Amino acid sequence: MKINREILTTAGILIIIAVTPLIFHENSYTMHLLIMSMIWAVAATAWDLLLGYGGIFNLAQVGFFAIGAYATGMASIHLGISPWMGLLLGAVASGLAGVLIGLPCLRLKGIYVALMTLAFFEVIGPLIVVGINLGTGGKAGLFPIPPFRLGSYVFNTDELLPWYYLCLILLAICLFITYKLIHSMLGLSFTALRDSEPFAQSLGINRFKSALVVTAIAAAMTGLIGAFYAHYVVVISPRMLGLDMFLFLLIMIIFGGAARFPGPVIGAFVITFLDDMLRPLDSYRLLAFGALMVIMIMLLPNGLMGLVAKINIPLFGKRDTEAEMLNPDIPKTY
Amino acid sequence: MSLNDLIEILISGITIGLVYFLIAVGFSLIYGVSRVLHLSYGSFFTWGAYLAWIFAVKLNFNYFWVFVLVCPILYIMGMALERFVVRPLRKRDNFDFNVLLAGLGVALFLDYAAQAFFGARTKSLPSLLDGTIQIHDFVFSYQQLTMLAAAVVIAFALWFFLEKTRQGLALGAVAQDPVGARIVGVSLNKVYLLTFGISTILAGSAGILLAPRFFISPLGGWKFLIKALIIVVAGGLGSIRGTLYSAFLLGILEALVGWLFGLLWVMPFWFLALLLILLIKPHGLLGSTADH
Amino acid sequence: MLDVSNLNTFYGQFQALHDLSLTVEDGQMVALFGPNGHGKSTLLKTICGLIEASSGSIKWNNTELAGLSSEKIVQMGVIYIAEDRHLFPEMTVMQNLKMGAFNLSARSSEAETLAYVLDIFPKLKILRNKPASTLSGGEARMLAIGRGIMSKPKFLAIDEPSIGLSPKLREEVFLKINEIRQSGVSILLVEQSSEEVAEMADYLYLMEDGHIVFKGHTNDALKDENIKKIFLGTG
Repeated sequence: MKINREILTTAGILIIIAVTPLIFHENSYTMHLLIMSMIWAVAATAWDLLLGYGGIFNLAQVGFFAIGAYATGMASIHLGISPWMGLLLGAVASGLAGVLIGLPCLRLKGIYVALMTLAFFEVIGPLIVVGINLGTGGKAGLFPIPPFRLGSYVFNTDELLPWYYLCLILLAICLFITYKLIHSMLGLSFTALRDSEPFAQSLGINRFKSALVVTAIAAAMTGLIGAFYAHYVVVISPRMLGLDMFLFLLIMIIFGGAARFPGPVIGAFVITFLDDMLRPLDSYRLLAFGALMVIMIMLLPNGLMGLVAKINIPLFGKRDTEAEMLNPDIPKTY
Repeated sequence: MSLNDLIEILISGITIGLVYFLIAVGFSLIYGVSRVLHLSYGSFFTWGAYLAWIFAVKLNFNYFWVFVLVCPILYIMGMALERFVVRPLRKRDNFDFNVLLAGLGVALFLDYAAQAFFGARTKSLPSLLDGTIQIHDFVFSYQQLTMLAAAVVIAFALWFFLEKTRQGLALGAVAQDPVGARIVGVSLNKVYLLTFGISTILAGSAGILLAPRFFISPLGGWKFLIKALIIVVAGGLGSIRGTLYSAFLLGILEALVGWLFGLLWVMPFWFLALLLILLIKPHGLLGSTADH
Repeated sequence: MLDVSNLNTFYGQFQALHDLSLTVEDGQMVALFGPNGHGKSTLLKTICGLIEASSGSIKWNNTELAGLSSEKIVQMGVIYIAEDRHLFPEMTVMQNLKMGAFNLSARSSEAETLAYVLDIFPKLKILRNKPASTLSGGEARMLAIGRGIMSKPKFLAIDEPSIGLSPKLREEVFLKINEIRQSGVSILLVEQSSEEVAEMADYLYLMEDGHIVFKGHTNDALKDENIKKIFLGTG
C-alpha cells in the first residue's frame, strides 16, 4: 500500500483515539462522547462514500442505521442470539435493505434516488410503530438489549474501556474498507461516473452494478455500527429516526469535507463535542447548526480537509495525485 | 362501509388531495425549472401556517386578509432563498450535491427558528369558516368546503399563470429548454426568482389551508414535504397533470386508509402505492421516459 | 453594423476561437463556411451572449456586446437561430412563436410580426395548435426561424439552417432567409458548404480550427476555382 496523506491522516486519527483513554479513562462522560463520536464517524464515512464519492443521493442512511440496530435488538431479545452474531446480522440486514431500495431506483436519475430513499427513510419510523406485534417494541422502543460477552466478562456501563476499544476496532475496519473501496477500480470508476457519465460509459463501466455494490457496502457498514449502538445504549426507539441524527451526520460530512477521506471522521468528533458544548443553548443550538451548515457549504465547500489541502502542510507530504483524481474540485477539461 | 361513508371518504379524499396537489406542484415546479431538489420546501409550509397564526390569532385578521398579507412575505422569503443561497452555489461544481445539503441546512435553520419564536408546543388555527351545511344525507363543514374552494381558486390561478401569461410561459420555457429560453431573451435568473417565489406561496398557502385541520408544529412541514415527494414521483417528475392525478389518488387513499385502519397507516400505504406505481410505470403515472 | 475583433473563446482549457475578427455591414448577408466542430457555432453563440468571450470585442452599432447578458443582447435585436433549434417541445406552435416575442422591444409589435411570420410560413398557421415535439424536421426548422423573426431581429445569426433537410426544403428555407434579408435584416449565416448560400451572400468567410482562413467578396471568391473548391467542396 502506497503511503499517502489519506493513510497518514487516518492512521494518525486512529492512534490518537487509541491513546486518548490514557488521559480520559476515568472521565466516563468524555469516554461516552468519544464512543458516540466513533459511532457517528462510521455512519458519516459510509454516507460520504455514497454522497461525496459516488454522487448517489441516498438519503436513507439513518434508516439503515436503525435497521441494523433493530435487527440485532429484536434477534437478541426475542431469539436470544449472541450480540456478536447480532453485529453480523445488523450488517447483513442493512446490506440487504440497501440492495432492495437500490434495485428499483439506482437505474434512474439521481433525483429519483434522493426522492425514493427519503420517502423510504420516512416510512421506516411508522412501520416500526405499527409493527409492534412483530416485536419491534412500537413507539416505546426495545429494552433492554443485552450486552456483549467475552468469556465470562460481561460488557457493562460502569466500564466503558471495552466498549471503547471494540468500537475503535469496528471504526478501523470500516475505514479500511472505505479506503480500499475509494481506491479500487470500483471507486475510480465511480468518480469517473460522477464527473462524466459518457466518459465512464466509454470505459465500459456499468453504473448500475457499481452503484448497487457501493450502496450495499455502505448500508452494511452503517447497519454494523447501528447494531453496536443498540447494544451500547441498551434501549432503541423510533425516535432515532428523527431529523436530528439525519442532519447531524450530514453536518459532520460537510464540516470534515465531503469526498475528502477521512474528513467525515474528523467532522464526527468535532460536531459531537461541539453539540455537547452548545447544549445549554437548547433549541437555538439546532438553529445555529442549520446556519453553520449553510455557511460551511457557501464558504468552505470542501470542509476542514479541503482547508488542510489548501494550506498543504509539508508534514503530510506532497499532494497525492491519485487522491487528487478523486477530488471534485479539479478543473474539468472539455 | 355504507355508500354514504364511501361518498364522504371520496369527498374528503379529493379535498385533501387537491391541497396536496398545491404542495406537490410547487415542489415539482422548482425542480422542473431550476433543477433544485428543494429540501427546505417543507419549512415554508410550516412558516406559512405560523405567519397565518400571527395574523389570524394574534392580530385578529380574517382569513382573506391573512392570505393577502402572508403571500407577499412568502414570495419574498422564496426569492431570498434563491438569490442568496441557491444562486451562489449554481456557479460552482457539484451544484446538485451542494444545493441539496444547503437546503437541509436552511430547513434546520427555519424549523428551529420557528421553534425559538413560537415554542415547541403545537398551535392551532381557527377554522376557515364555522358551521355546517346539510345536503340530502350529507353534512359538510364550511371548513371543508372553503378549503376545497380556496384550493380550487389557487389551482386555477396557477393554471392561468402558467398557460396564459407570458411570464408563466417563460417558466415552462426554462423547464423545457433552458438554452431555448435564453435564445428568446428570457433571463434565467429572473425566472428562477419567480419560480421560488411562487412555489413558496404554494407551500405556505397549503400550510394555511391545512393548519385548522392539523396542528402547527416547528417540524410539521417535513411530513408534507415527504408527501409532496411521493406524489411527485408517483405522478411522474415534471408532469403537472400526472401530479394532479397522483395527488387525488393518494388523497383518496389517505381518506380510505384513515377510515379503515387509522391515520398511522397512511404513510406505509402511500409508500406501498408508490412502489406499486413505479413497478408498473418506472417513471410514474405520466412521467416521460426521456427523463431517465 | 456588427464588428467582431480579436475574439477569443474557451471551453475550459480548450480554445475554440482564436483572435477572430469579422464584420457584417447593415443589410448585408455574410456567409461563414467551414467544417464541423471548427468553431462556427461557438462564434454565433458568443456573439449572442450564450457563451462568454474570454477576450476581444463584439460591437453592435457601437455598443459592446461582450459581457452583456443574453437577454440584453436579444433586446437589442441580435438574435440567434440554433442549428439544434431549441424549441419548447411541450408548447404549441403558437406558444413557441409567442415566446419568440418575449423581449420588451418585440412585444409592442407582436401582432404585426406574427402576421408577417404566418405570411412567409403559411404552414405554421395550419400547425398552430400542435405541440412543437410533434413537428417534422422541416416544420420545426420553419418554426425556429419564425420564432427568431418574432424576436424583431435587426441582426440574425443563423446556424446551419439546411441541416437534415431534403434538397427541396433546403431551397425553400434559403429562399425564405433571402426574403427576410430583403426586409432589411443583416444576416450572418453558417453552413458547412453550400453553393446556394455562397451565391446569395455578399461576403464570405472560411473558418478552420477557430481561425478565419479566408475572407472576400462573393464575386471575387467564386471567380477563383481553387477557392471555390475549398469553399463548396465542388468543382
